[in-house]
Amino acid sequence: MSSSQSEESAPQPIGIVERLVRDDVDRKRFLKMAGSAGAASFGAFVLAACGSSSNTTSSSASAPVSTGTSTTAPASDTGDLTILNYALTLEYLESEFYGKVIAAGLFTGKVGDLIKDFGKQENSHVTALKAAVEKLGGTPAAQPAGKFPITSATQVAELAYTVENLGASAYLGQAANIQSPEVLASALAIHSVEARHAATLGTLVKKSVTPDGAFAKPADMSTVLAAVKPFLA
Amino acid sequence: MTYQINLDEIDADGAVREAAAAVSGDTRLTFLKKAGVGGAAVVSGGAIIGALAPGAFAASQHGRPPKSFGKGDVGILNYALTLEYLEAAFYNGATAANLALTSQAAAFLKVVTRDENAHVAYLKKALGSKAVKEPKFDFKGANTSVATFMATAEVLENTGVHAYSGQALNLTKAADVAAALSIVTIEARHAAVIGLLNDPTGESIAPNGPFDTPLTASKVLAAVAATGFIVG
Repeated sequence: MSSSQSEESAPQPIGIVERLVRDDVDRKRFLKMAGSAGAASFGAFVLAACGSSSNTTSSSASAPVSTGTSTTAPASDTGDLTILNYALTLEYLESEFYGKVIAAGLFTGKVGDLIKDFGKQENSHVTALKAAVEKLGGTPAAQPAGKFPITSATQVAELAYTVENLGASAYLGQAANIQSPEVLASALAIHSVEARHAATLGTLVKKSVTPDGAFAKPADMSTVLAAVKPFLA
Repeated sequence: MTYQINLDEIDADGAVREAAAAVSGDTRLTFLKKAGVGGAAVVSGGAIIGALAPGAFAASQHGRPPKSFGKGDVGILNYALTLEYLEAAFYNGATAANLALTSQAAAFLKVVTRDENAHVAYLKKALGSKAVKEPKFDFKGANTSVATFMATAEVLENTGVHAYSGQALNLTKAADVAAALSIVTIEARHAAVIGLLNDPTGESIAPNGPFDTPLTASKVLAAVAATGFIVG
């Protein structure tokens, strides 16, 4: 039942862990803010949550930042903003892809509804990530112009499978670099949904629902950006 | 069949017992029936879990497992290991039962059996001498009939996503965080597949919509306790 593949250990990340250990007060602050947000949705939570640096405007902060952290923007926030915009770029591409696929009318019935649901979910991810970037005081990445080959339902479904797996790996690849607990929580909430999409498409196109086996493998930014380059117009 | 023994072992502060009583103190079968299993109805994991814990990001959704699992990361990994033991045993039993599954369901069973056993092996190895022992399970037929197998698998997998999501931010060691993230995404894949197989409209693929939600350890453990699967 077991195999050597099944027992390989997961990679060793940096970033969030050092941050969590070094600055436990951030986590407590996150949990306190998260509790006070009472948000019914992730989007609302992002809007209600405190930013983690002086770059944020304080007008909609829901709790005072009293941890005594430095008022200069720590490198971590620049890193998190970059990661959020990277995720946003990928979500824009996915959202646009599904939009074009739906417009092409290649899928009908239950599968058609399923594809529409995935498109709506990617749109929600775009909205949430844009809001997260703005909350951190950053400028959201511009929507890229995408170009996707769309020839047949099978070809499109296989492309969707590739794209969703890539998206899941991309999130996993960045999780270790995320400094802010709020950003990490949002990345995790999105990343497992990308995995759901990928596995569903795998079932539809008869490809592996777990292409990495029992442990998902992260993909780094350069790998992912190289893989999506063909889809940028 | 009562489960006081199990609750005593895992319920340091009575929270799980209270939650399980709130779930109605039912026997496992009654619980599943209320959830819609039994006969042709297929339960949605999201419906059960959603009923237990609304809200995605409240601070209360990251509550840690009881101290009886161990402290810090060890406690969290032992909590994860307990859930993986349960999944692996459930699927091993289903495999042995040679259920008359569709080819897609059979393929699903093969994948999850492989994966959950791999997760058990990894966590046991990571915990070494601190690993909790495998509980004694009695699935009471849940994995020997096709309908209850399919419905229960969906609940178990979504529970796994909620559980790992709830604890990921509580972990402190790099390797533990990486492992949790690497595993939660696999549980999500499993959940999506069984969700699709159980509901071809696709509405059970992502029961919480565009953002998966964390659950506290006590809520997860309450749901597990309510099944009555852990008997020692």
